[in-house]
Amino acid sequence: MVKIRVEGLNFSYRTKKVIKELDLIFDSGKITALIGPNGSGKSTLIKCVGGILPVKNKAVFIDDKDLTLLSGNTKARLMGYVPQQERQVFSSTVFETILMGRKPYLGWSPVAGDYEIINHVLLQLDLESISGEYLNELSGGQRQRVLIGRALAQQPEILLLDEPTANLDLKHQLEVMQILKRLAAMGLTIIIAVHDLNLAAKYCDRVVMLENGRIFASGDKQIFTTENIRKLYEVETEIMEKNGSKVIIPLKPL
Amino acid sequence: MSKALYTYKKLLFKKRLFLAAGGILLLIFAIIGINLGAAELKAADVYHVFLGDADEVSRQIILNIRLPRVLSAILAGMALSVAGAAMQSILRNPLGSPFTLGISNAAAFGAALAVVVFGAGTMNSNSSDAVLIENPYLITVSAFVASLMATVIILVVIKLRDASPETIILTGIMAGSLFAAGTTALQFFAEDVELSAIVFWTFGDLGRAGWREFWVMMTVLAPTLLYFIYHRWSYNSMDAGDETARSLGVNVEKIRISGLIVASLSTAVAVAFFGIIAFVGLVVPHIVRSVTGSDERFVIPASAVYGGVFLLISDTIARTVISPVVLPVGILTSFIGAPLFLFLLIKKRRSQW
Ligand SMILES: Nc1ncnc2c1ncn2[C@@H]1O[C@H](COP(=O)(O)OP(=O)(O)OP(=O)(O)O)[C@@H](O)[C@H]1O
Ligand SMILES: [Mg+2]
Repeated sequence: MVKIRVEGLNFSYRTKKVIKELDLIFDSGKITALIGPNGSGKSTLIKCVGGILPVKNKAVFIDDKDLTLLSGNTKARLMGYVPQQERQVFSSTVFETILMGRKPYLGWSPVAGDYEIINHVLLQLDLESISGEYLNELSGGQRQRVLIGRALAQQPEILLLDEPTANLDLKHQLEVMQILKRLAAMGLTIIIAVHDLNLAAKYCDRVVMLENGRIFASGDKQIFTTENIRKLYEVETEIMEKNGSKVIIPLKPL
Repeated sequence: MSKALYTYKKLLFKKRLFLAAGGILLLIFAIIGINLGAAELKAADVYHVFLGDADEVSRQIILNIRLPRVLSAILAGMALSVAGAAMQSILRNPLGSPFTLGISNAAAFGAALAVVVFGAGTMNSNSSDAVLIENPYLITVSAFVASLMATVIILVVIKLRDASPETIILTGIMAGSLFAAGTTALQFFAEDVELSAIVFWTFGDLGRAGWREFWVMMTVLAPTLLYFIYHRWSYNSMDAGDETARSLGVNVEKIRISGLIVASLSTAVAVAFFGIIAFVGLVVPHIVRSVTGSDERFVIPASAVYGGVFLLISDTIARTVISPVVLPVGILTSFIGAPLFLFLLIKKRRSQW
C-alpha cells in the first residue's frame, strides 16, 4: 500500500541544488534505508518528506494528499521525526522531552492517556531509570534514544529517522532496529538514513542509494553488490551470505 | 503510578509551589509597599483607608499615590520580565531581553527626541516629580513609536534574510547601538535643563505612575500574558530547535514573529511610561528557570509573578532608603540585578544554557 509518494522533488538551499528530480514511493509496513556518502542528500530528503523543509506543492504526497496542504498538527500526528542531532538551549528532562511528542494531541494539559504512552515509550527504550535527568547531561546514545522516544510518543503512521543508531552501543542498535521492525509489522512506514550497511542489509526491506541528490540504485538488499558499493562510496568490499542475509566487509578505499 | 511518572509529578509539584510562593510574596510586598513612604502613616491609617473611614489626606496618599505606584511597579515588572522570558525562548537565546533587542534604547531615544526637538520636558530638581514634563503624553507616545521602530527594523531584517535567532539578536544589538548613538547626539545638542530630563528619563523611574498608566499597562499586559501562556507548548518544542518544532506541528516563523511583536508591545508600554528599567527582563527569567527548568508552562507565569516582586521590592527600597529623596528605580534594579545575575551565572548547572 503506497503511503508516501515523491514526484519530481527538487530542493535547493539558497543556490545549492541538493535534491534533483527525485521520484520515490514508500509503502506502509516497510522499512526503507537511505544510504549514500556524506552530503548526498539523505537528511535533506527526510526533511522534505517530513515537511520540515519548505517543499513546493505537488511534490510530496501522503496517502495521496499533497503534503503542503496538511495542517501542522495533522502532519505531526502522521509523522514522527528523529533528527540527526539536537541541542536544547534550556535543557529539559527526559520525561519532558518525550512529553513534547504529545504536543499535537495536547489540549490545556496532558491527560492520563498521554502519561501512559510516555511510560510505555520509556520502558520500550530502556529509559525509565534516567527519566528525570536533563537531556544535555546524557551520553550521546542515551540522548538519541530519547529523541526516538519522542517520535514514538507522537504515535505516528510514518517514522523518519536520521541516523538513529549512529551513537548507540551494539545492544541498543539491535534493540532499536527490532523496535522499528515490530512497528513496521504493525503497518508503520519507516524511512531511515543509515551509514551502517550491515544494519541496513539485516533489517531493511528496501534500500535507496543516493548519490548527489539523485537515485543511484534502489531495490531490495540484492542491490548490495561489490560493484554498486565501489561506485557509490569508492570503497572495495567483500560481501558474504550468512544465514540468508548479506554481510558486507569493507576492505580499502579506492 | 510508575516511578518515572511519580518523579515527574513531584517535579511539577515543586514548580507549582514556587509559583504559589511568588504569589504570596507579591501580596506581602504589596502590603509593605503601601505602608511605607515619605509620609508617616500608621498601618492603622492604611487599614482605615480601605475601610473607607479615613481622613482625606491619608486617603489621597494611599489611593492616589501609593496604591497606583505599587500596582504599576508590579505590572511594569511583569511586563518586562514576561517579555524577556518569551524573547529568550522564542529566540532560543539566553541573551534575549528588551534591552538586547534594542527596544529599551529605542524608547529612550524616542523620549529624548520629544524632550529636545518637541520641547516636551525639562527638569527642575531631583525630588520624586523631578522631571517637569510639560507634555508627558508626547514623551510617552514618542518613546512608544520609537520602540515600535526597533521592532520593525528587526522584522524587516527577518523578512529580508531569515528568522534565525542569531540574525535577530545581532540586528537587535545593532539597532540598540544606533538608537543609543541617536540619544547621545540629542544630548550633545540639548540645553542643560533638557539634558537633565533626558538623563533622568534613561534611569528608569516609577515617579510618573498613576491610575491612567496602570490601566494602560493592564490593558496591554493581560492579553500579552494570555497570548504567551496560550503558546506555551509551542515554545517548549521550539526550545528543541526549529526543525524539531516544525516536526511537532509548530509554524516556527509565524510564532517567532508574532511573539516578538507581542513582547515588544508590552516592553514598549512599560519603557515608554517609566524609562529604561535595567535587568528585570534579563535576570528574572533566569532566576525563574533555575527553579522551573525550561518548562514554559511555569516559566511564563512565574516570570510574571517574580518580575512583579522584583520591581516592587526595588521600588520600595528606592522610595524609602534615603527618604524623602526618591532614587530612580533603574539604579536599584541594576544594583540588585547585576550581582544576582553574576551569582546565577556562576552557580548554574553547566547544562542549563
Ligand atoms: N542548512 C543548509 N544550508 C546549506 N546547505 C546545506 C544545508 N544542509 C545541508 N546542506 C548541503 O546539502 C547537501 C546534502 O546534505 P545532507 O545533510 O542532506 O546530506 P546527508 O546525506 O544527510 O549527509 P550525512 O551523511 O553527512 O548526514 C550537502 O552538500 C550540504 O552541504
Ligand atoms: Mg545527514
